[in-house]
Amino acid sequence: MLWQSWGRFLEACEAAGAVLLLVVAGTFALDVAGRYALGVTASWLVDLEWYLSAVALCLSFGAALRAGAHVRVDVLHARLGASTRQWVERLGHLLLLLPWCAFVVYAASRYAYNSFLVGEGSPDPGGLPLRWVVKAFVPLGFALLGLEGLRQLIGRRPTSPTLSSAESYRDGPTRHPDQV
Amino acid sequence: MGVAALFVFLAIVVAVLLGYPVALCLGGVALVVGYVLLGPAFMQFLPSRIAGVLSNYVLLAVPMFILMGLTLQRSGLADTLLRGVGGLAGRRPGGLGLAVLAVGALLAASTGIVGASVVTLGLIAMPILREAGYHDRVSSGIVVAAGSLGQIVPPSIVLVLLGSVMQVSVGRLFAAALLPSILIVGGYAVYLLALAYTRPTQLPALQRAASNASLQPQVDTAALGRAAAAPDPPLWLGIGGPLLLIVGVLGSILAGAASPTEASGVGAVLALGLLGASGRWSWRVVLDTAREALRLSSMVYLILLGATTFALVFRGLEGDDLLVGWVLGSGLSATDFVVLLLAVVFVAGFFIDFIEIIFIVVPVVLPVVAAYDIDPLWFAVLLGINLQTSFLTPPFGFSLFYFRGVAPLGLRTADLYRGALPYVLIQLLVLAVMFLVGV
Repeated sequence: MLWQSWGRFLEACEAAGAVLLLVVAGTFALDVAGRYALGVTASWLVDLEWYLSAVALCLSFGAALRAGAHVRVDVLHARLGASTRQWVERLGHLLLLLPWCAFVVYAASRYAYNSFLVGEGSPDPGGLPLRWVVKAFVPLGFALLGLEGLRQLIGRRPTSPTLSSAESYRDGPTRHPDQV
Repeated sequence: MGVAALFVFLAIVVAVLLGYPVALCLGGVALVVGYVLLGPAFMQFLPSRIAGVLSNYVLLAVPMFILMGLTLQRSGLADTLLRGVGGLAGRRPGGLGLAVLAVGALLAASTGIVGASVVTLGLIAMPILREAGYHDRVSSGIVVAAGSLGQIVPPSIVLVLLGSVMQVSVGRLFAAALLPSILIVGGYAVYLLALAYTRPTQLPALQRAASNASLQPQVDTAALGRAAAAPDPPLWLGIGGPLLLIVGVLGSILAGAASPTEASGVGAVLALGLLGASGRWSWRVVLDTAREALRLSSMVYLILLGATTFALVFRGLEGDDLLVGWVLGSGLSATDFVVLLLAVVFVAGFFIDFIEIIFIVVPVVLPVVAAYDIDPLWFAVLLGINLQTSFLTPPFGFSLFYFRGVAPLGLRTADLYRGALPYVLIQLLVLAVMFLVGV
């Protein structure tokens, strides 16, 4: 139950990020159109473009790991036994993924908090304020990544992609009907 | 300390070879070693580096170009174009491959971001080549090589960044990169023709029936994914749509109307418009496409964040000082130095993104380049070719990683690696020519 809710939560985060990504595309078009049709340049639009992209990307860090979207070198990997692969995954999560995420969550939170304290905004005139909001999404994204890693580490039936054949670790909408 | 930096490098190689995700190997190993040897205070630099990657305006083009490529794929127009071009050229062995090379060169010239163009081409061309009966080795080689052209073919973001760091006019750099670009594309084409002549079964001509089908496209479940139920867009839209996209994106960059990043966003919106025109539009499809684009982008970004962590620790451990110390202490000639540096950048290009190389390695060696009185323009062009080559080189080339992320299931890694090798040799040949000829 808990696992399923967590999965739905990650997917909701990713869907929200996807909507933001579409908004970013529209913002770019507005930016260029505004410059040529109206002769207006707005530095807040440029800020908005990277603010929204950064938030969108951070929102999908957890879902990407869950979907097994990450690239690996499978030269050796494909020759390892299933249990060895599982051990690589577990050790990797424990020794690499979790420390990296834990540290970034801690350090990036402080970084965002400092930004909040000084009221950091865009250095450009007419830029957007509230830079701490964007920066706060970095620890959030790494928390999603770390928690999904933790779930895979302690889950009774980890949905680790390494459990299936080494070639089929990808999932999601890219999978074509003839590739199943 | 420098030795510890090399240890980090080797530890990452081992972790990557064991099959753990590349991004997590880079970030995890670097963080753990950095935390132990350099201390938590030093690692406090990391959040600002991460913010630097996320706020990098040039990199914003990556998610936009991926969104553009995926949307184009969902519209079915790119298939129609490739089939149209391939149907004309594909009657002879190797023709379809040359068509992909041509489309890939145009795509690479308009995007200039290797990750995005490899992914786009991999999604569009790979299923078509497979269906036509191309050997996996041949088709993955074409896609990876054609997709990596964006590194060197102007207008290239790599050249813009190199020009700014090395204080060389970007316009002159574009002009200087034209000759190697033509040599490389020509070399690829000659190789494909030779392969088609000697091994026609690996690059088969389209069958007459298939060729007709490609000129009058029918529903193709292999290439269209979930949208397969919709009828195929007409041929005029299949040719006109992608042309509009190329004019809109490449044209606005060349005319100076928009930066590559802005053009990428406009391209994504244009592609969404084409999706509407193709009759495949639905909010479900749009949202699914955006989710997939975001997932691929966040994979690319996490690699960049891992590479940033690695770069921070590598420099903190004075790994770069160690390298420079070796160079200066060895009494090398200018030629030796350039060759050695190209070799180092080649290897570094396996692990760290071109942006890391350009912003970390190049500034470090720039004083040495000046001391040796080496022409920076010539040097920048060589670096550009060199980076593109290392992106293609098995087993760690970045293009191969990006391609692997979207490659059809069942593609053997050994085929991918062997397929890329001939193109690496062509690259090295062009690199040697440019080394000898100068600019």
